[in-house]
Amino acid sequence: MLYSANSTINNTASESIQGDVSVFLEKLSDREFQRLYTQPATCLAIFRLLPDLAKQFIMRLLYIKKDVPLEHIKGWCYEQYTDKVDDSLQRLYKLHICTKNENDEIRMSKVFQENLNNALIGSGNHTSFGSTSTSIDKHKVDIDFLDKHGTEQWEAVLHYMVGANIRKKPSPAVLKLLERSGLMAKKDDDVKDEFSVFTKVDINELQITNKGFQFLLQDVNTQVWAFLIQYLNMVDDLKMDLVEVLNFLFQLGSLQLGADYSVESLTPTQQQMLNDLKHLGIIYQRKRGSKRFYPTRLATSLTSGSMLISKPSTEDSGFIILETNSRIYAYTDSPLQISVLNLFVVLKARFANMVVGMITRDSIRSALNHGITADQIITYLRTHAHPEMKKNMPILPLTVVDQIRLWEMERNRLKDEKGYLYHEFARAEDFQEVLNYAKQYNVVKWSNVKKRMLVVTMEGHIKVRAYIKKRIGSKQSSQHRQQQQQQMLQQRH
Amino acid sequence: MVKAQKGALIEVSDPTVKSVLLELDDEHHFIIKDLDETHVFVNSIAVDMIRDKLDKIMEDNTYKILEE
Repeated sequence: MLYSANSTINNTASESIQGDVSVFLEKLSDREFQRLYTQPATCLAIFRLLPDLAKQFIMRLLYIKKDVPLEHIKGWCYEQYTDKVDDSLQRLYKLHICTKNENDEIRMSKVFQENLNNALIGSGNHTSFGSTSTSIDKHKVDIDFLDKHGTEQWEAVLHYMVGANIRKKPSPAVLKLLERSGLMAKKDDDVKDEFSVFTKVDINELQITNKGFQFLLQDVNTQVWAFLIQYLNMVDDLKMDLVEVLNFLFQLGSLQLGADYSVESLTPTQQQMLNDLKHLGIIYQRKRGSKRFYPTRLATSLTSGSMLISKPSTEDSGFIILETNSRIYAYTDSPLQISVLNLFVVLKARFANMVVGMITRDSIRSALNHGITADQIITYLRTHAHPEMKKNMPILPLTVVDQIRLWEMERNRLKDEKGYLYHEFARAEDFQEVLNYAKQYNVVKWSNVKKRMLVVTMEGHIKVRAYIKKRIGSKQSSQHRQQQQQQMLQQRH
Repeated sequence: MVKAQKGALIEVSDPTVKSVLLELDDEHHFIIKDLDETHVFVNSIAVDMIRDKLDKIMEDNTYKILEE
């Protein structure tokens, strides 16, 4: 492995891969939401991303043009599921689909109501779901071709990431995305200014980061979304309109695989996007100036939730056999899959159609040092298990799974947190009071009443210090004052 | 009078690690207060060094299967 990552071991866990678009959406403003909802395709796509209960609420509220009391909505469900009702409603508020007024009444956004209705009954603006080409394509392509094209383009990007077999370098736009998302980084880390990223990206200088390794272990849908979310984050820099970009992404999700769509009904921004998405294999366009485009399976499955298992290559997706003695046999000749395995397996032998390896403590530790978690490794092994393995219950040998988890736990022997230690309290009451005070603000990390010691967080220190000064200081000064008064009295006598 | 001292709270997973820490302290003197079986309060500058040394000591004491 090219990468030595001793200094970054501890801070990688917090930087996980963001593959959920709804989290991104929650950052938008109300105005942006209402503009988004003018497109029926977007309404439908967002509707599909919601949990079942929230969908149910929307369907029930869709044709009600009045405010609905919150109690009525709660009345639709059994009382023991009130938490779930609240969760679902929270989602709807966050996405600005519903709002609650001060009288605890719920109202659905008019724009959303109207356009979801349009999407369902097929009335209103028709180009929202893409307009199919009117003329017949002389170079018509079929679904098999699109699947092949999509997979090839996408894997080319992944191949580039692992540095395997670069026949074709990804386009500059893709490289920028890779770098901006932190999946790959320049070899020398000195250059960190944002501007230089845009003016010059030298492809020879990029190398995969810890985050990139984690990325490789995710399923395709998460990977695609992680990329697109990064793209959305860059939209401002590219001087594109976020709402148009989002609308186009959601529109892609509702297109039909194998059909060709006209470029003409798209806005200039969306046509620019078309070009970027082409390089990722999300859409297919025969020529740059072509008047039509085909969505690939990567596009059409965008909003179908995480249930994208029906990948084009179902048969060869399972290729790993893992034995109880930690030996691993992988029936694959794909450089990509072999490089991914190489992240956490010691490869021993390579044949024409298979590789043999072994999971060892060191191999797992090196993966963990790259920020990959035990769960990610186990999930990867499970989803790519050979069909023969999948007949077993459980699929993976428990001994190996447990051992991987133990190796991970072993690394976390120490937990450390900076803070302040308070000790040598003169009186037990003082200690108890300070402890109670600190507990209110939830800043106590450790305390012992007998030893009269407590540890508070860095943030808590300022508060606790001020409290002690005021509290104990005032006590002392009042004692002091009393003594002075007594002395004065004595002097008078 | 109450004293406040800056440092880092270390929580260890088991007594083994704690005793290794005490051993290390003989040489490097980073412990400010020994709190209880699973907690020590140390100089925060030393935390990275402690991690490195601990990792090395634990590594040296792990049995490895030699592969041919």
